[in-house]
Amino acid sequence: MSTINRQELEVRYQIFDRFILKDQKLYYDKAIKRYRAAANQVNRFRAGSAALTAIAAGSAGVLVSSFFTGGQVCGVDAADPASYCDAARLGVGALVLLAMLLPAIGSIFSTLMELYQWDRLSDLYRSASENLVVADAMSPPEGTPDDEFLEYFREYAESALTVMNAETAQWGQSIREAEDLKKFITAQKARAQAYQQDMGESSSSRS
Amino acid sequence: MTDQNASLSDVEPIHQGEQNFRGSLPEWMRQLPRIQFPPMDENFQLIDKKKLEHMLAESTPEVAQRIREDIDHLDRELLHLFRERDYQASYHQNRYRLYQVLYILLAAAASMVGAGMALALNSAPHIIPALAILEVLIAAGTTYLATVGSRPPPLATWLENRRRAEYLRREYFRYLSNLSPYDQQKGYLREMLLAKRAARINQGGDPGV
Repeated sequence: MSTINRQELEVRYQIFDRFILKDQKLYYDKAIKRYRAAANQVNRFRAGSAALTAIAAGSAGVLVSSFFTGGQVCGVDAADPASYCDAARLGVGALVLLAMLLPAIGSIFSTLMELYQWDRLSDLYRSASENLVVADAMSPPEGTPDDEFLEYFREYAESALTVMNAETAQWGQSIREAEDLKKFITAQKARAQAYQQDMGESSSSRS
Repeated sequence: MTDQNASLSDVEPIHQGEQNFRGSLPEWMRQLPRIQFPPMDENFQLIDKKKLEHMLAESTPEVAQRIREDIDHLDRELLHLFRERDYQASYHQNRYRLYQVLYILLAAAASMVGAGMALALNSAPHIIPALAILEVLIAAGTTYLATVGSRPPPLATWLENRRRAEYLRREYFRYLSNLSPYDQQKGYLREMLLAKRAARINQGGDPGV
């Protein structure tokens, strides 16, 4: 029932091609680059904090066994502790502190990875981008006769819209809350409630 | 068919967000949520009007006029709905991520305090009460955030608004390309069909035919 002539169809095709298909493909391609870069950066921090934790814990162990275990110069039963024992003690304390803090910092980056799901979304967008290329391949070729142009255009545009629809549906399914955070919130709520109950009980026993 | 804009590698896709936001920072930091979310861009368009006019300049005045009329009608019936849904989706996405990042920081603080308590048990027992108070503050802060952050639930609100916004965007181009069901109607019937379908999509339902 379409009464649109060939020239108008071509303009509408160009608008669709430029402002939705090419634009959407550009969005996918840029998002893939950005997500991969972010995932690599955060992964490096995560790996770095794990490696530094191991180094700090290992170094603390070496210092303790070298200076503080039984019979060593800085041990509790040493008759004449060396002058550097205070510095060694400080060093062990700092390393133990680092070995405690670094895993917590590493967990910040692990949970960020889970929250943003850069890897999963990159895969999803890569697949959608490839599917858009397939849809683009259905665009009306040069010299398509007038009576076939409309059919080509419809198939091309519907395919592109279907790809975008499928991507939105899959994207919605892939976004979910980080399990660790859900457990943390539940535990903290229970803890806050327990404190509240403790306070209530102690104030009622006083009165 | 040749594309009129051959090189797209140096351009940004069309979106409501700020271009090159936190451009000098590493990519993962650029994606962290904002504390102050900017207001909606009331003039946002899904089509760059200058580029469109450039395209229309090569067609006949009648064709250009019909396409401009379609775009004007889309502006009246659909675009304001898209703008609002798209903005709400971005707003709740930011809100969801902001709360999640705060939880992440609180969780890290809780594990540091816990480890500190274990360490202080033998070496500095006098700081244990202070650490215990910190633990209570973390639990209270988390409970507060979980309570204020759940109304309305940011994740569900983000996903629902994004789904409707993307549907409206596809509908915009469906109408402009005169795809089904718009190719079955003419004149005011076609315009009414758009208004009806856009309203239903915005409502979250099936637009039907």
